Amino acid sequence: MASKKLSPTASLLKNSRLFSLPPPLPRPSHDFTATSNFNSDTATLPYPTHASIETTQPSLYRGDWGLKRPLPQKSTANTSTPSIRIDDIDSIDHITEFESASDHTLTLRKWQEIGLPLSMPVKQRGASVSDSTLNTRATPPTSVFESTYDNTERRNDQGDVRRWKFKGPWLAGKTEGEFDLYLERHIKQRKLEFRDFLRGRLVKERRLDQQRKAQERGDEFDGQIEITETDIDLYLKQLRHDEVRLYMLVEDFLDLPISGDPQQANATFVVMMDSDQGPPKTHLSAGLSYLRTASHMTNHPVLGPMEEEPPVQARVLRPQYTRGLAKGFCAILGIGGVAADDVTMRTAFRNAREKTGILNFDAETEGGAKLWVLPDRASIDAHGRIKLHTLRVTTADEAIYQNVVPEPVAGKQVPVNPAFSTMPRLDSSRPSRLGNSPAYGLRFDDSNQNPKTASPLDVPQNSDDSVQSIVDLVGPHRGK
Amino acid sequence: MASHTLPRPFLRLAFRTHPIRPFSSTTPHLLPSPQNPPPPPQTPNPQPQQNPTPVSNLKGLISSIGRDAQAQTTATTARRSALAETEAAYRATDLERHLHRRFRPGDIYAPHDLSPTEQAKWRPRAASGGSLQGRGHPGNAHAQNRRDVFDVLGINPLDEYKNFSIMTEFVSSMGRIRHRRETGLRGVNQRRVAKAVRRAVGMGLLPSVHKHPEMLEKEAEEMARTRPVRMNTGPRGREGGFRRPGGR
Repeated sequence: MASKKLSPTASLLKNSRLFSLPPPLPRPSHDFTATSNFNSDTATLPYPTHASIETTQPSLYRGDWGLKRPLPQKSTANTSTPSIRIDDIDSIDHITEFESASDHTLTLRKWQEIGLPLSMPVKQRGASVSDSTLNTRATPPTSVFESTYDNTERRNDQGDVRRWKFKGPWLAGKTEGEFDLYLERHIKQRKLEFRDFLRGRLVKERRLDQQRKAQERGDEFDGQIEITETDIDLYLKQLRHDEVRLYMLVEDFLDLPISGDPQQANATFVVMMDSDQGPPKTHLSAGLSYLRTASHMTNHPVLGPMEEEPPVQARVLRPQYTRGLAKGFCAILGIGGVAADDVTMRTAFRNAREKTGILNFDAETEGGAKLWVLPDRASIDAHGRIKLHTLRVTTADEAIYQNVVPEPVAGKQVPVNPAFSTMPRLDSSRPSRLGNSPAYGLRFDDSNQNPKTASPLDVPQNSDDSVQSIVDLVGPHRGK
Repeated sequence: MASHTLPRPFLRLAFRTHPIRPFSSTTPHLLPSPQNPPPPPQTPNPQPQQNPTPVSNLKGLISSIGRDAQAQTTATTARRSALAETEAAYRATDLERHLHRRFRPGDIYAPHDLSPTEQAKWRPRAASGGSLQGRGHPGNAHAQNRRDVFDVLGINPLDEYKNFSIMTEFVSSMGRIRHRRETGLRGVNQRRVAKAVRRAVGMGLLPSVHKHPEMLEKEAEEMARTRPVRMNTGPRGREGGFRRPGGR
């Protein structure tokens, strides 16, 4: 908020879009692998680089986005999700260059609807990460907002802390050429600064030494330490033969991310370094979610508090076996705009009968193959990409949200709660159809001709079968 | 629409089975399916027969006609269901052929990323003889992203004139130094590479043509010997159908 001391013009400028738009982030780096030789410049990037802006409905129809000139209605108002990003606020041709930002805006909205908190990345050994390491039931996740990790300052009252942000670059991630350039552009000119830094260190060391000696003698040292240029030269020569100390000094001076074991006390790194990932590029939540835990419970309008979150429908982006390509490691699913490995398939469901479209391409289903999954764990990797782990949904869970009666399990005897079966229907005067009422998130279809796809709740009244079917459907463990 | 992308045998087969290979968006009732096969061919009605043949003969005739018709219907149904299966397989292959993007975990997609236009941009283009970076045409995103490989690696190309595996990367199949457009190098490094290639050729480390003419000749002879002589190919069959441009 602009302070009162500012002039009206200054305050106007300060609140304008011109000044509030942050500079764009660099595009995700292009790697030189063969598969990335073919790409599209209009594809959605793995993370947003530009701020997306919105405007109020009346301003939208005037074309007013708070920019220098109104934007054409034809390309901005003709959508249900008007949000844009500005490539160039005022180009040399007197044009404001913009494009739709609804891709990332809507992905974020979907993500928030899923309501999954972000957790610390799981330590990866090569490409294979087992389902049990990722599964939050087996290994509970740690929030990225824990004070042990969520630091940007080097040290606090207790001393050095782990953090995710460093001033210096990750040297191991630089190519030979980039490293040479870094030395040339950033390091050479800091020679004198480093000498001063060494002088400070030397003074500290000498003072400690003198104090210790004085203590041994039994008196106190409070004299000045005189350091000459020859002392520093000598110190430098010593350091050149003591590589470990020199490296530590250089790391301290340049504030480089330490590539050590994160379990060690001096490791300041928050991300595991045994992969080739390097330090995180962004805060480990990436601003996607500010939730600390997933310890909340969904309340189902009919069935009460649920053990699991409502499942999400995922799209099969790439089946495991594709035509002409090598067999994939597993299928790739798209969950709310985020592509993720279908890790569960490799482990628990390997021998199970897979649905069509997951193993092989499904050309028959309208809109492509889909399945219900449970988003389980999400983290941001060092490149700023979302790593999402999902679980498969059980048939009972799926049935609750998908309006399909599962096949009864043979030999399964479910005790019927007598209180539930004798519950009087409040609207017994008229034929009860839950499907006619607002569904509160349940999609009950009125036109149920097929008994296979009939709503599980759309059954004759006062029938024991109906209660049995609901309990069969939900199972005794579902309600809490 | 996409039929021209099918190889020729596929095309022939596809057109024989059905005049138009429908996509999944085609209205289902137009497709022949095993569930609702088209009406079986009309069996000739034996009632209007006025011939004064004996009754037993007539009965035999009727039953034989009925058996024939039944067998014919079964065969037709089987054939149709087989055809429908083949057709479904073709449709799947055909659709899958257009899915070029290989999504990686962590990719974000919006609806337009799944569109045919966007998918077509990920289509692998034919490699132009092992060039380093020049696969995308200029103006492509790839061209914007390209970086000078020697700058990335911090190598001076002039120091690498003896490294013929690097040098061959910058020489075309006809022995010409590749253009900057194809190599993606900045001016300074392109000139250095050109100089290094000329130096390597001058020292005899690199042929000035892609392969030595003697090697080419040997290859041609080898090909002619191993290749079976085909009929109806004329004199070219004996030569292996291979003749170098320029006609030695």
